[in-house]
Amino acid sequence: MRQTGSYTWLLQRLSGVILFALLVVHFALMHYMGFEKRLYADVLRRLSNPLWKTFDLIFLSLALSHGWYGVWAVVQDYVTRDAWRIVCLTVIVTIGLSLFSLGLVTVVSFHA
Amino acid sequence: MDKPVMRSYRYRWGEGMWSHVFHRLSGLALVLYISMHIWVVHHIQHGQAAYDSLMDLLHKPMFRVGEALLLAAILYHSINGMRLVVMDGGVGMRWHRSTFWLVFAICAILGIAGGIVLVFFSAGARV
Repeated sequence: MRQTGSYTWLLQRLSGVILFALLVVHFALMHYMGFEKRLYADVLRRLSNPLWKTFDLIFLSLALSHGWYGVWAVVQDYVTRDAWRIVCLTVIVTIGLSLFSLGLVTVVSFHA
Repeated sequence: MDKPVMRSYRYRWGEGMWSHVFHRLSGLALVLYISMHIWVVHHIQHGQAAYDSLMDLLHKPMFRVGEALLLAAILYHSINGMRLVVMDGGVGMRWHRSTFWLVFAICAILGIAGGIVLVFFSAGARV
């Protein structure tokens, strides 16, 4: 495996700090500002604003990359054989990209 | 196992280990959650009636307890994450034990208070 430890280490911390800020906004809005904020009409109103779409897309990409990179870090702690690591990495990247595509389609294509 | 030579090799299950174990478990739980979350939210493409009835289902007590657990995982992973970033910056390594308990206390207070609101006083509950 290539040694890219220091870059990914830094990116993981950077994305973590940004995610913290985004998550405070997201969680407070969706869970403490009233149930209706989660309903179709409200989501539609938010997503008609390009700024919210941008927010959601940044949130989506950072959360997925931070999360699935974390899974990869855990895998590296327990899986030592290169062949198995490649299998795991392939599975992780596939799941991550599939979820990203699903989220991307949801956020970008959603309109009334 | 109690021979002095073995004693020096015994694993130390201290605060550092617990903070690591909780960070890892909460992180894995959050990856699982966000993956399900993206799948659930994509149902918005199925229209207003379908999406809102799905949201009604997710507002049932069982899922609100789940939401409180989600809050607990988020609180621990993010606040302990901040602690790790600060310590990676070379600050506060000497106090890593007491800051672990500080993080734990903040999470307990915010988690219990926020969790009670989510489970019992969720605003706009339609049930």
